[in-house]
Amino acid sequence: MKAATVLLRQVHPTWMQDGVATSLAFKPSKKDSGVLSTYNGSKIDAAAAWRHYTTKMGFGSHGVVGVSVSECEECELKVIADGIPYEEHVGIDFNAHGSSRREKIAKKLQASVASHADGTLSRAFLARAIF
Amino acid sequence: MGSEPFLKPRLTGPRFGEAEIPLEVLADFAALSELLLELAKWKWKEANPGRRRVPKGFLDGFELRVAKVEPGSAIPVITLVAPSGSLFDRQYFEDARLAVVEAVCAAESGGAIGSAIPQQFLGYFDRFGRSLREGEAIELEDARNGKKGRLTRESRKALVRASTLPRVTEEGRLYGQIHEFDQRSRSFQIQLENGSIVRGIPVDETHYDAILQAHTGYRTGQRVRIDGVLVYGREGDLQSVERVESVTNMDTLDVGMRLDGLRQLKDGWLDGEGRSLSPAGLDWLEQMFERHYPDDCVSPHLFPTPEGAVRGEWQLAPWSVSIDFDVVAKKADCHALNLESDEEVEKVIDAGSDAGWAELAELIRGFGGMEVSR
Repeated sequence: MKAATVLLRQVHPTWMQDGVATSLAFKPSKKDSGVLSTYNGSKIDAAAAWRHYTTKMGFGSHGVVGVSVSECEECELKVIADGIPYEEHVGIDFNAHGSSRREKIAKKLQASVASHADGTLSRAFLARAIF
Repeated sequence: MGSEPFLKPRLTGPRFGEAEIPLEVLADFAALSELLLELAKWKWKEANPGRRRVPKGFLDGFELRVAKVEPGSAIPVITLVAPSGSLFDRQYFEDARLAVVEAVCAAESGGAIGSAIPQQFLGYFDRFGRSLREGEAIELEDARNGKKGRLTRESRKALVRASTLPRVTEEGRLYGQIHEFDQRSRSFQIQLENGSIVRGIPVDETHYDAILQAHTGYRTGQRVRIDGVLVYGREGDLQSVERVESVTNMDTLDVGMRLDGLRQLKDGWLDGEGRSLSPAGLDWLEQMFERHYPDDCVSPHLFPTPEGAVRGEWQLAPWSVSIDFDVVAKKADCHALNLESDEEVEKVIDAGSDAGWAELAELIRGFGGMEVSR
């Protein structure tokens, strides 16, 4: 995948307050088996990804935030475009890292989203704009 | 006219320290007085089966009064004032008192409430005990046989549910946005943090301007706190608001408002994963923030964790700070990352103690979390 590709991450409604997404949204929970699910931003845009997630998949999402492949790789995370369970699915693999390191990475990814909101990464800015 | 101690209810909970009783709680005792009077009449009728009603003027001059308040936490000493030469026997009031204690005992233990007090009198518990908050109780003791019962929010609800009343009222608090205000009928609607809507809330002159202002601020996300008397159905579902007592404009990051929203989460809230948060734990956390979190510190964003904890987050560039509050174990796991230098700080704080919260406040200040510094 290209380093600049934006990975779109859904944010649960309770994980957004006053326009801020928690770092918990960037850390795999128990059901994720160490792999964070995202949409490949080069195959689907933020609004379509949100519609797919909330209607086809039937899950809750307040909106979508974006991080780039290069930002994940800087955090020593493997990015896997597996296309399962849907074609645009990309997994961000945290399994090489323990809980303390995961916490650090989650905060870094959260900060990346905040910087995109300033428009430094146009595609992620679009992702933010649908909130 | 004579008087002597009749009942010494013991009020427990944080509001009743130092032998003090908030004025709003005294209204509950007015309802107890009415209940005892009605039960005394009923006891008389039971003893006089041929009589359909008590003779006119039979109870004139009888009165229950708070003579003084003793410590422990607060014990109002209630006396029964009886007119001299009264035909009515004090015995019936004592039987009424025992019936109240037995009904409260039954409600507390899940026993048969109706065998102590007939259903038609249980509606008085809609007012007696209405001002009780979580963790508070009124302990009632029958002086003759030492029997005790604790009236709490839960046992009171059981008593009202056993009555003929179709609803239970309770003093409470709502957070939300006022999306509709009908000035002609002087009523408004509020959308709560969980998305549900409460309709037809009456507004009196005192709160008219505050409601109008909050309604105008709807577009900009203005949130309010409504304190008042809330009406619940017999299944515990919020139906309406009987009376608004105060209206307060809220900060978007108000801790109480946010925790109230998290209270609604059920098991599986995170798309099948995610534990609900302990209501008592959330009450505790709200109280600790109210008591200990300094006004000059930046308010945190608060989020539920899948494990049932509450995470507070502070973006204090270059620091990103998070504290996970285990609301059951009363422990705070702190983690801070300097996003520029990669420096990390980790700390576990005893959030159950005053000293722990002082440490927590210092930690936030140390990362530049003072309102003036932002």
